[in-house]
Amino acid sequence: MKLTQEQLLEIKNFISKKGYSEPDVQLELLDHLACGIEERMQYSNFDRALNDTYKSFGIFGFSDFVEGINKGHQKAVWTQIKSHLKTVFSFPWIIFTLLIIYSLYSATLRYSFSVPLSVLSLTTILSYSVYFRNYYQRERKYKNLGIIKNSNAFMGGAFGGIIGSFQIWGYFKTFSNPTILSILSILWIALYFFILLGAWVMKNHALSRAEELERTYGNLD
Amino acid sequence: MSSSNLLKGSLQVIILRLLETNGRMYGYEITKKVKEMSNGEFQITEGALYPALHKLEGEGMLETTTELVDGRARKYYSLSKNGQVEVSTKMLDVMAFLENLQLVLNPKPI
Repeated sequence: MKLTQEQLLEIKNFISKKGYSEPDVQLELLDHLACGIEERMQYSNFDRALNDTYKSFGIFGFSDFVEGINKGHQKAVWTQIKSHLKTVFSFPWIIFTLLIIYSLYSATLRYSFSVPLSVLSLTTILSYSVYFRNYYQRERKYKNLGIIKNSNAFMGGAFGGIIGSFQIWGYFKTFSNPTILSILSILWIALYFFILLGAWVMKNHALSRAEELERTYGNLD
Repeated sequence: MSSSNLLKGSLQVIILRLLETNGRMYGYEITKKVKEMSNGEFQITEGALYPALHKLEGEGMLETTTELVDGRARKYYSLSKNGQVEVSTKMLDVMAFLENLQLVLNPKPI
């Protein structure tokens, strides 16, 4: 037995009542629930079939399902981050990477903390400019999607990490050996770029998924 | 221990193998197929299936396509190139594990 549009809408409302109002999450859940209900409706009515299908998700309801979606996105982001890092440390890019590291090391030895502070300040300004120019407007229309909410939470975490990394500055001041200071500065910059890379990959992943969903389903409201 | 608990460790291999055999499948179809092939003995719960599917997708083992079916979006999963390579390796791992398990559970008398 095939479900009507009204019944599909009822399932969507049911999912919303369970606390999952994000359109992308609902789309993933809807087909599975609908298949289960259609099968059960051969010997039951719609309401009972809906409840029985929901029960088949176990005592935690949809939470395992939704957690699975989120973990899948995290895994995809990690896979991309690892792939980018592998590129940076593989030939021929490793030559540029080592040159940059050596330049920063030498410059920090000569000019002390003004080098990492200048690099990080400039990078912060550039990153935010790129974010507002390329992502902010594009993602506004997808703000209700679970994947965009997740990416914003990730960005919040990344921003916290960046602020936290500046606290290292106070700790660095306790070292007087210029070599140790230079190495620590390089590590600081590396950590900062790692956080930025994570945020950039996450935003790209979330936006490309959101745009793909829109292309497939049309309006996502 | 229930068969569901025993099944969890092999779930990824089961998914990869099913997709290798059937080409592309959607979530509900996978649960039905496993139940049917095991004569109702194996039941994959949604709470186990979808995290496994998304993990495999995140690792680049699976590709997805979405189609509108009966007024709703249906997500089909199929093996990616990496997944096609991985399925053979994982099958060999499971076979070796089952042989070893057999040796431990049914040791030959000395």
